[in-house]
Amino acid sequence: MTAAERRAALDARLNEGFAEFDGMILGERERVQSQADEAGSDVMSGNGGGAGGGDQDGQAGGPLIIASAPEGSTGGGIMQAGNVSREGDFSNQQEETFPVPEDIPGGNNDDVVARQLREAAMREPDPELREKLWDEYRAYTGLGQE
Amino acid sequence: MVINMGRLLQPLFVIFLAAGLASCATQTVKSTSFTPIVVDETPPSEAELLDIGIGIFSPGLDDIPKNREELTFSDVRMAETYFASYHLAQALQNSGNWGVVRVIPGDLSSSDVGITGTILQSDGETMRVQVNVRDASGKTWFEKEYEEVVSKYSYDPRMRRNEDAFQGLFNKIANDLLAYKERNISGQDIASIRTISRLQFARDFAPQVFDDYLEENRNGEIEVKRLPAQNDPIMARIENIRERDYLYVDALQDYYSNFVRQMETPYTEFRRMSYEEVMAMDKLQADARRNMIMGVAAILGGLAATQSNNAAAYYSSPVILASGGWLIRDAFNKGDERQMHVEALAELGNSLEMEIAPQTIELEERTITLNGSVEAQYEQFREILADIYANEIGEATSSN
Repeated sequence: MTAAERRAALDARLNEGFAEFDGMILGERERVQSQADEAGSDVMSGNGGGAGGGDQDGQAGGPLIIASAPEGSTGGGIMQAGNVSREGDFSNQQEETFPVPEDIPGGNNDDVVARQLREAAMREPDPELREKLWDEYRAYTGLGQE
Repeated sequence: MVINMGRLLQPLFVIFLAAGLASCATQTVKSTSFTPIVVDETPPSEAELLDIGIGIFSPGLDDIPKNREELTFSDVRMAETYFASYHLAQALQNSGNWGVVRVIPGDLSSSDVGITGTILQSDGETMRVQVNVRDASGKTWFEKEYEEVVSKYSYDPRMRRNEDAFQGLFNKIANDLLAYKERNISGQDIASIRTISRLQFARDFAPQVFDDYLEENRNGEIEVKRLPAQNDPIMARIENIRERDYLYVDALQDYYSNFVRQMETPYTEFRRMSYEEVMAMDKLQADARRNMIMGVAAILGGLAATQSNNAAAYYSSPVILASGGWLIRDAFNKGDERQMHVEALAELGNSLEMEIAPQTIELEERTITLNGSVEAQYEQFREILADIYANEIGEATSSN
């Protein structure tokens, strides 16, 4: 096995590990969310006041969302998902990215699926395909319904 | 017969003086003002945001003052550690002055800013916590004790503003953090802190690569020695791991959020009722103490009067002695009445413990289970990264 082949094999193992990890965490979060739904509380979307990106109705069976940080001091339930590539940090990004449409908010509220859609859209050189990816993102995060 | 008014009034003077001293010792000043959260006038840019990790507060069960032991219930206190950490995180996140704020059960070294705390006192009336804040370099920002004494209005639903009764305390901590940052932390410091926390995380997963990217200075603080290359592939993989770590921590926030919401109603009701019991107990204790002081003073005054040559003083001595005895007896009665409130509070506390303890145990078990699974995965990631690095070293060596 060449070094490149070995590296590819190790990366494949790492990606398998990531998939397993993601599945474990998402499964756990779904379980907690359904527990919260049974208890009649809105765990993910903060206080029922509607701050941030929470889905107010029909949490059960809806997409998993990561509790959002409100703009200013408008509510609670605000454990925000981490953003790996924080602006201002030294960057490891090599690929070209394309601008985000104006109607798309910051990605701090994105769960894993939304983040993957966002990243795919930002990296897609084909404008038509890129717009389709953003439409998928809008549909998934409920932006189109607002 | 000359009546010496001074000697006649002397015992009475002692009694009044004792009453005055006793009442001074029992004054309690409470503020009903609420500390609002301070929001930075100029919202920080993304590059200026510092993420915060809050450790689960320590329960402080080893340092309970003797006079508060009967007001402290260990299982309730354990639940309060999650409650306090969670509400502090909410206050900080609500301020909008910081990046991501999370409650983290373990090591905080990969957080830009880490906060640890200990609950020193928590009953329906008073909450007192000790807080320590340090950044990723290990530099301590500050260590401070906070106390909040609430009034009955804090439990009035019309006035609570849908917030915790002790929200003001958490807001004070958040405000102090902001004030410290504005006074002492420059933009360059922020960049350095963020880099250090990132490299700390990287070092944890690939020490063979990143061990010498950080060093400790003479003050014991960590400094950046070098930065990874822009296209460092190991760093890119670690960023992917860090994204997973954020997800894991987010899952923990779900646990804590769920737990706090489950305990909130019975816990708030317990605090409201224990506030009333604590108020009654404190008042009875104060009254008992005052009456005891006055009673003793009266008896001493009465005894002095029995020795007096002054007829008026002499003949008033039985009255003074009797009143002194009554005051002392009343002090003991108040003590008994206080004990009834202690028992009522104990019943409230035990009832809440029975409700909360299983939830706390479940939370701890789930956290440990998830953490175990995550750590096992992390170990795998570490092994793979080590193999990748060894492969790259081997490749680099053979190409030379």
